[in-house]
Amino acid sequence: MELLVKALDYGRSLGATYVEVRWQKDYGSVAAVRNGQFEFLATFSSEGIAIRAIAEGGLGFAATPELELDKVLKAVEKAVKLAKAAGRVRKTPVTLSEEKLAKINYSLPELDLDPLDLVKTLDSHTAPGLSVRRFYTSVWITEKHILTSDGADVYSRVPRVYLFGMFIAHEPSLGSLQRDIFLGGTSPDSLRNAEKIVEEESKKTLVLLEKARSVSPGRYDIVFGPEMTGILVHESVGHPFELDRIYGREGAEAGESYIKPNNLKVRIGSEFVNITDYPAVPGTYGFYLVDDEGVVARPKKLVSNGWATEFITNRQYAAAIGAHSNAGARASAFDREPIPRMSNTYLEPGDWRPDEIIRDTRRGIYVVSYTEWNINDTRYSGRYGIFEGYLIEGGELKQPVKGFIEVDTPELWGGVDAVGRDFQLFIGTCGKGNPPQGVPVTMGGPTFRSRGLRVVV
Amino acid sequence: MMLLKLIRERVDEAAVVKTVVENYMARFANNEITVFKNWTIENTYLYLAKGRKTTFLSATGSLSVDQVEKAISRLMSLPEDPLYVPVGGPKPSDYSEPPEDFEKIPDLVKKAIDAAEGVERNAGVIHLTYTKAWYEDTTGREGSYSVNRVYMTVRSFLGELSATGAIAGRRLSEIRAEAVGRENSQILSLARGLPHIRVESGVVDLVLSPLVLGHLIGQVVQMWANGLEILSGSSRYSKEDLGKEAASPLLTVVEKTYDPSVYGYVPFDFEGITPRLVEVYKRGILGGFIHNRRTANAFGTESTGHALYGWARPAAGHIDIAPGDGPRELDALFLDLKNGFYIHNNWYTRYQNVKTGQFSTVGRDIALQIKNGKPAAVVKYIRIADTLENVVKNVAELSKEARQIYWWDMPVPSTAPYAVLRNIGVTT
Repeated sequence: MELLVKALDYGRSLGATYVEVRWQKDYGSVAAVRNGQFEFLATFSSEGIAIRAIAEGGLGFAATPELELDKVLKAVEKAVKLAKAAGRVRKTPVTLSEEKLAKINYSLPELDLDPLDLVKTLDSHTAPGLSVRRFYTSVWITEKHILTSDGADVYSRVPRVYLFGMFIAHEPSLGSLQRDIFLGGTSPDSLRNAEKIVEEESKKTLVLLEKARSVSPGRYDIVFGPEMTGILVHESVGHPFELDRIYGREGAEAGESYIKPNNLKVRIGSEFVNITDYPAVPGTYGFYLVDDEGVVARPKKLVSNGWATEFITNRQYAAAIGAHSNAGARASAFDREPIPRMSNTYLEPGDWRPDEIIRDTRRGIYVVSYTEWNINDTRYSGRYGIFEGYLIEGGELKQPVKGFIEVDTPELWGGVDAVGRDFQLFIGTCGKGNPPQGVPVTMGGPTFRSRGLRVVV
Repeated sequence: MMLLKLIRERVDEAAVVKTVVENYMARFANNEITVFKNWTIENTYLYLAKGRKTTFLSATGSLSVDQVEKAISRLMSLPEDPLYVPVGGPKPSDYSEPPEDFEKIPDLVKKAIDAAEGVERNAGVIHLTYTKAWYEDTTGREGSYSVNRVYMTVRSFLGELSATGAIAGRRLSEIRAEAVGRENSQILSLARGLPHIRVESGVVDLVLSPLVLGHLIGQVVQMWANGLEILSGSSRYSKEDLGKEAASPLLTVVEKTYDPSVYGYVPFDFEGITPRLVEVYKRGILGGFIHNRRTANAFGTESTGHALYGWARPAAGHIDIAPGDGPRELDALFLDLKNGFYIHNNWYTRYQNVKTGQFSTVGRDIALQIKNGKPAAVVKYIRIADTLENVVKNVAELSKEARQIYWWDMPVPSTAPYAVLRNIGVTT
């Protein structure tokens, strides 16, 4: 603590108008098995201090893994020097929004999980007959202590578990089918039902390889299950609502947005579309109470009744639109800068029962889960492969089908006319930034229907 | 190292790798530097073996006694490692070079922006790294090296259009920033005034830029020519496919992390082994796979020195796609293509199935419809949607000039030419 205070004071004495010092430590273990065989068990620990400084209108960032005072002060000097160098070639100075900043200390209970036991147990629950089955698990703790020159003082300790499973069914006469599953969170309940999910999804991989047939291309009413809702919300609303993207900061890498700085108030979808990002959902993989700039988390109402109403932002981009930060700043490790990121992003539930939506659909497809997917870098044109999907005829589920939904974002959300009352979140690792920063997130919501979407094979 | 002396009595074998990576990065957007960063990644990695049981540890700075103690006691309860191989091999080579001067970075940003004439704004990055590494193991093998690497990406925007230029190398003097900016400007001028269309799904002919070809072939090497993926059954290839025709006879792909001139060069890997040339395809014939000592042993062969990022999985460091005898200039390549599409860059490559290589990747920046050898329209939201097998088999022409490139969404740094591919699936 004393070290962080000294770093902060030193940064100010060097002429920085803003200094942020973050100590972060991530430590835990990872294990993997492939096809029932031990692959590896490894332990890891990553610890260091990051300094961000604003000086002479520029933003500088420096990080060091060394915790001795002289090394940390040297990093402070570097951050201020880089800020000044960057400021010299800026036309507009970097500023931050003014905030009431948190002074808080919080910790979540540790997770008592052994990653190797976990992957071995889950492997024993896979269906026989798969040609490839792989599991990878990480169990770790993230500790952070953040001080800012304008008053934030935040300590947090959050444990997490992440599980990845991959199943490939391969039969020369039928081809191959692959299913990837991701499970995890921050509470002891995070892997509840994991064994059942592994059993069911691995079995489905074999069954769907044999039974799913290519759909006839055309327009269908699509009923999306919660896993689909998650990926759709994340890709086509969460990312393009990151305000730094809208202002072009990620232009060369993670991309920009279909929303432009001169037109932030845009219609995204029908009146039934309400989308929120909220970090403080208990137990979730994307959980936090205060962001990495010391701003207290609250729900961000990204879309209200189809209209864009709020964006995911940090203090720098909040200042650009004359707003307050909504606590979207996150850094994945001690040597990464905090930038606007999603946390737990979801479609708000409606009042339909999922089976009612299916019964109400004359000709459509019920899509439960996805495979290959991607979206262009302004997040306008997306493609989502159907892993588990069923034809709907006259309100009844029929044979399993395969194919792809290719859809533009306004069409996807503009066609929504029924939103379910069920709700489920799924985990993911969200990529952005340079150097790349994968941060834990969840995404999801209820079952919903969008009318007349294009399906191809 | 002291660490090995301390644990020698407790385990049968151990190896230590220490790396210190000094990073300098300037990012820019809207023609302004958004942030100028410096960070140091200092890590110690430890491999432990007792009998045929193994484990790995890593930590920033030095490993704590507590972490080592816990790992040693846990080691006894682990299952035997099916890929276990005793520590050993030739002595790692020593190599040293001085760090490049990071203060030149802002000038390069300015040069690239100034050279991109006629565009509205530019975004991008320069990333300079200086890596120092030390290796030592309980057999007495030891070595150290220090290397620089640097890449620059510039994305230039003009209305709804954009073009990304990239360059990579080992020295800041190799980063020809003006050339990157100027080429972006030229590419964008090809699209000026053309109508905007969307592609119909179907099978078409394509000209791919070095960025796209390098990206896709990098995926092939990383996933299909990787010893661990082959052992796992996740690769299209098996040992029995070696020596068979697997790609276009025009395609020669060499993994060349061993080459001191390429971005990604290292004198030795995590097992202290010097990377060696792997001819993945030689004129279309499947020639070899990348291995660490663990996967090589399982194949009954020698390591290729590709334990680049750890002991668990081999990885490619730089791939070289040999140029062909096609023209250097885009307009001449368009004439050779005759009818089809030009894709300048791509991102977000995802697989329906890694084993069959069914994938799609999103066109990024300019894509052009080519009719009778000339640009006829700008194509919005095009995707390549096919199999990796069709990509490597359907190469019909390669330009006579290749360039060294790397950017944020590229799986492996590459030296790649332009390519004409026939009969490839696209969608929107």
